[in-house]
Amino acid sequence: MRLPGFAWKIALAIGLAAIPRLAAAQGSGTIRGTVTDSSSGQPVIGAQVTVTGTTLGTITGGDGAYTLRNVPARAVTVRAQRIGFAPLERDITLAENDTATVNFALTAIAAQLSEIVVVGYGTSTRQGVSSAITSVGSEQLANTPSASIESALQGKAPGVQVMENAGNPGNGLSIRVRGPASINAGNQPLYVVDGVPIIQDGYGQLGMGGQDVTAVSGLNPDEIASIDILKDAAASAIYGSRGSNGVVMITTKRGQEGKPKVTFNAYYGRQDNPKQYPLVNAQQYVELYNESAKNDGYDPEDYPFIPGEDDARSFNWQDAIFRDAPISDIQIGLSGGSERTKYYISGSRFDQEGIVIGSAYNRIATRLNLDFNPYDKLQLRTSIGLTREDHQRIEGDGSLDGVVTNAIGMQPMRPIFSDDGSYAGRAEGLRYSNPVALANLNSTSLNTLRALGNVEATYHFTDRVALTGRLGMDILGLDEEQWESPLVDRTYAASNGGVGKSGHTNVHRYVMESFATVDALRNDRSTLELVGGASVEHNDSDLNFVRGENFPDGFTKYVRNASIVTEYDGHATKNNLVSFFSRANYSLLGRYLFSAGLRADGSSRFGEDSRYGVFPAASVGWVVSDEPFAEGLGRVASLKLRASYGETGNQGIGDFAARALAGGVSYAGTPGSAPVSIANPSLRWENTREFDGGMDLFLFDGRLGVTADYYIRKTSDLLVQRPIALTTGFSSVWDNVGNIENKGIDLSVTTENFRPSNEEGFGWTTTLNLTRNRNKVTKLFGGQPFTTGINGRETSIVTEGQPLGSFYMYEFQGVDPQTGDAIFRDVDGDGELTSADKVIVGDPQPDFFGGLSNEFSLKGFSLRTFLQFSKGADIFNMMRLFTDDGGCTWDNMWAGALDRWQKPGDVTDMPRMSYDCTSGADEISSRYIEDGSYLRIQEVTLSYALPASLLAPLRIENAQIFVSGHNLKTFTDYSGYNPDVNSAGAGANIVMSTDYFAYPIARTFSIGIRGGF
Amino acid sequence: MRLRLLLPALLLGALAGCDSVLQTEPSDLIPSGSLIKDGPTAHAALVGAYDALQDLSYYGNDFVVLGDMSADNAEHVGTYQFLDAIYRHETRADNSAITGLWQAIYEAVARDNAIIQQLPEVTEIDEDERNEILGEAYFLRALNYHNLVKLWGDVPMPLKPAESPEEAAAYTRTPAAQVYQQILSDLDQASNLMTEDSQTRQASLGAVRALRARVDLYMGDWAGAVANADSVYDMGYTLAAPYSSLFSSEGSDTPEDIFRLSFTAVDYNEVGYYYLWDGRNEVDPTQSIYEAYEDGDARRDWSVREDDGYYEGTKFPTTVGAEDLHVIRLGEVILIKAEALAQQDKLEEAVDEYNKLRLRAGLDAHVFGTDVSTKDDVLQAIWHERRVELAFEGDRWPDLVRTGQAVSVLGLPPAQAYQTLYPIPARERTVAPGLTQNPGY
Repeated sequence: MRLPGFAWKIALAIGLAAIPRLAAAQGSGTIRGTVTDSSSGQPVIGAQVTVTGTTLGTITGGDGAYTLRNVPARAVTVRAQRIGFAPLERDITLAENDTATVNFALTAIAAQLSEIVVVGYGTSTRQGVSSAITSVGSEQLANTPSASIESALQGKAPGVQVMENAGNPGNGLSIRVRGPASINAGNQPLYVVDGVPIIQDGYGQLGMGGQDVTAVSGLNPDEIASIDILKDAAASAIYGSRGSNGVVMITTKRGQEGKPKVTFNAYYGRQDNPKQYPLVNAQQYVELYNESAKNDGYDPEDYPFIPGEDDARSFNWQDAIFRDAPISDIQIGLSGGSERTKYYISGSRFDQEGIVIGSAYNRIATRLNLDFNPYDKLQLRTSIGLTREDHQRIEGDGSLDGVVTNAIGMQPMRPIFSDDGSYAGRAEGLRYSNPVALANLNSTSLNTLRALGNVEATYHFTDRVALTGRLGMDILGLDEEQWESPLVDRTYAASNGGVGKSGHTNVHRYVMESFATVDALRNDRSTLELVGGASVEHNDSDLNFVRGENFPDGFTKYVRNASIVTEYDGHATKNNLVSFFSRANYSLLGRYLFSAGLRADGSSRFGEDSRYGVFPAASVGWVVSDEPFAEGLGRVASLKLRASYGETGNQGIGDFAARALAGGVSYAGTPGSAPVSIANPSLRWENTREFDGGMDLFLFDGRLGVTADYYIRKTSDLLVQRPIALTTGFSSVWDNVGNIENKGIDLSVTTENFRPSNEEGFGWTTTLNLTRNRNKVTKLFGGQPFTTGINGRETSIVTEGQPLGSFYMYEFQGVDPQTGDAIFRDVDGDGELTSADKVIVGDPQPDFFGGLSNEFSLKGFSLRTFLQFSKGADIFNMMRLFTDDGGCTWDNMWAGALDRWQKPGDVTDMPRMSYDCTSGADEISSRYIEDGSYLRIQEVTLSYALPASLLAPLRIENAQIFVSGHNLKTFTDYSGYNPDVNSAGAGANIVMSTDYFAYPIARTFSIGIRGGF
Repeated sequence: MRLRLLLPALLLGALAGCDSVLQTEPSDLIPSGSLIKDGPTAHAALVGAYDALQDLSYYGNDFVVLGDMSADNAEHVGTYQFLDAIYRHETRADNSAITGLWQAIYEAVARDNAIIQQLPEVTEIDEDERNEILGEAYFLRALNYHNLVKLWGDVPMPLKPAESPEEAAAYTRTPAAQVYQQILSDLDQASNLMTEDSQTRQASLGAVRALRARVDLYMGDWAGAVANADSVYDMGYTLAAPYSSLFSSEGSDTPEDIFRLSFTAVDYNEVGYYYLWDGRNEVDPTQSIYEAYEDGDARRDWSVREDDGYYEGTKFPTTVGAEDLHVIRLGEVILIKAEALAQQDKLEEAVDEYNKLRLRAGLDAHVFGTDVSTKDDVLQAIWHERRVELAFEGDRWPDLVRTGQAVSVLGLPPAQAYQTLYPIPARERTVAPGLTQNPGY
């Protein structure tokens, strides 16, 4: 390999040698100093430092330092320059035999190159990274009117798909980093907060139909400084057995040296439901149902309704459950410190009422982050957050007591209130429990209390060797209470004197780790950094639950007042993880980057034979624009090419999934035992191998930035609950079978269309994110496909050669113009509709998705617009199974049913109404599959920085006011509330994009202020 | 500097003792390798075998509800399409209720098989206790296989626990006749081993003989059915009065109980929850069953409530589900004997038998020669009596299939006649490809 930089230096040395006497004769001095990156403070290696007008020059070494000897003792100009940075000149006057110190802090041409990236057990700069990592700064997370950080990430990180699932406040979201790679072992990324993997799963005991509560909602976006998403396996392999779904590295805010500084941030908003599900009114309903009886040959006197009488009144039940609801957030932070001690203290309160009556969420969060350097060699840090959350929940999708469900299902002529003003019930003809009564009289609360923190000590043996020890803990307690009131007619509780439930869950995680960081090599040409360490992690959880019925009049909720206990539970489980990890980063001339890592994890979850897994990773980066041959390019651009390979794992299964176990049962009050699981002693890790090739290109003084990656992820030994013959007495066994492949492209393009000439000038920046992922199941046990679904309806299949969770059902081919019956494809040609006629009719995963943001600034004003889009995902609109079933269930009908077939010769795709359900309209078929593509105006924010002249008298340093709108408009052909939906919940792996009366996502208008003093 | 020592110590601490850290044991479950070791563990396993019958897919609900809803006693009015498909005789091989029922019965069989295989090897147990437990396990296996064979026909018939999933993947269907032979053999074993003759919430000799009579009836062994019914009579069971006392919400004992499953508010069934309007209300009685009751029949007053042309199934009076459901009771044994007698042309004796139930229901006794005269009259009367006496207890559908009347009584079009046998679950045939499907599916 050519070493041009080295050669250049030799030439320089020879040149210098040729003129030594001359220079010395004039009288000379020495200039020394360091060159650092202005934003990160990291040394800049390979920068040229020259004295203008002379041939004197040198190159900075591994520590960024340089020394220029024999500099003429006079006024000189020293210039530091490096590709990718704006050159800087400094004038000094050098005295004879003197040594002057001149330090340079260079500003990167493309600011992106110098940002700090958290990589797991360390940090790097963007310039030094050779794997695929996406960073999202706090400014992009701020003021998203949602409880969770994941919502704020939606559309902002290429390669990261964020699915809202449902719009209830505090709802758990689904995140897929580069596509789903697992069938049963979980597809959510690993969350690491300030270096410690956190509790992130859902632990609520009360299922609310697709509205999961996950532990991630407890993270307060206000406290977060940055999020780095480790996307490729080379980056995430440092988290080995849990890295295969990507890693979300969250860094909380910390104090800076300086006077105490107060920051504040507050907003208030109003939310509403942007779209109602189109349903028919009472007149149309009566017409449709009477037509259904007519179609099936009933006599007019047997028709179910009397027009003019039964449809005299019509009610919009959706109006009765949706409301205009407030949302607010207020946060105050205090930070500052001395050279030795720095602090960051924050307190915040987030409060959101749901747009469906009866639902709400609030969170109080506090944080104390301290940095303390008792003396130079020792750094102590604490990062401690305390959070309390209060979820007020309503019964969700697919439940007979669902609030949205019943508001849609209710016959439109049924009144909400009876004549005496009480909630209408059976007496008024309600076929389901009254959703308004359900929301107002029943209650379900889930409160969490969480302490998440770590204490860390770093000891610097020398300036090149440091040892860090860290103790982290995450303690989460959940209290759940539910009350089903006996006053809600047509419910189980009504006939059983009320139902009270109480559940308590404790989840603990303790992490102890230590690692050494060694700057093994730091010279003019190259640097070598080594990290190695070990960690032990202990997890345990326990829960109890009790359910009582039959409460005396006037008593509610608490089970001590129940006359009988009908369910109880008590359970505990635990698992441990022991890990060893290491990584080496080698940089040659700052131009050739090599990184290699190795992690070994041992988990108590696996069989004794296969407890340890080893996860290697390697990546290379080449800064092409740094090459002398690319000098022309280097003047206008920075181009880095990257390639990486890594292996990661997944261990997201039950703590004792490998074991044959028996549990307690009872019969007639006598205790007994029965097997609950079948063993697989060779159960091992799920393994993902990923290749990533990418490039980072910054052009024209950073005005155009492009980051693009192509990846192939192959996951094998999938952890699957493999179906086995039920004749064994079990339905499945955990096994390592099958492969999944994800291939795709992540692309991010940033353009600075107008760069402001000064602070007041007009600026315009555009950022586009685009992700295309192709998912395919490539191998299954014995090639056997399997189907699954929700609520006993099979909708989705896992089969070789197809995307995970493809929709699998009858293929609707139209409506017979003669009979009005639905026609389905008869695959096996036997003339019957049997399970052999099911085919793949859709893919719940998008072809591509992303976001487009534009930021404009002029004087104190700035305007941000953010569009978010997804193309090509199909949605199974399961609401139509009831509202577009040809009239089988008496539920209210979707307005689309008005286009039904009515008489021979009608050409339509809407089957006839059928009183006896003989038209085929209620078959689960591709008739209910809709295109879920959408383009959403996700955010428009206008903010104004109040002028200093106004603020100075108030002693406020800066303040910004803003007005903002979120989820303003969605352009889609989807008929339901919202195409960003999944009623199978955050924990679902296979069933995706299924809408089963999901809680709609709110549209929000908010105003706020933020600033500091 | 102490810290200088502390930090490496932390690292060493992390490295040490990994293997023991990775050896965790569950705190609320036990290894199931050798579940049956002695008397108490054998008894616990037997409790597990009874517990399997309580499954909500089995006697806990679906098995009972499907038995009437597949026939003409109950209609589907709820939201579960998979129940609607069964009701409309458009069941398909991937029906989740059918799959669930198959799964629940085989889970019960697996627990019976574990006892039958492991218990004879156990020495730490009293001989009488072992025989009783083993006998009850044989009885339960016979009951479970009879329920399988009457709904599906030929079924796989493992007689010991599968060693591995692969073993079960190779199972094929055993012809129904052979399954019946095994049922008889298991009942013989139970009869030889058991001595218990009074308990009603677990199997007793009475239950063994009553089930034997039922199996004889299904096999057309009329003489055997009569003999076994008589052997039940000899044990002193008497009809409960009133009829409603059989279905009290607490599951109180009655003299008619032979074998009924215990349910409590905690260990509940969902039959009431499925029928009652305050529950899930997936099913209602049909107009046909309501009208099948003669006026004044106390059984109608208890079992069906008419309200403005709608019918509510009130036989199981609460949504709590603490009623102890009857697996077999004297009333059924009387009807078995009556039917077997009629089949043997002992018509007058047959009428005397079923009159016992009419009289209890507050109806007049049939007079042979007036109300019923021919063998066909008597059989029809018995089948009608079965329908109203055992309504909503899950017997109507197997009765119609057994007597070959399903197609005619339900008016099934010829194209749907194949639905008289449930389909082998599709997912089962995927993992065990040797299982053939019933015709038509």
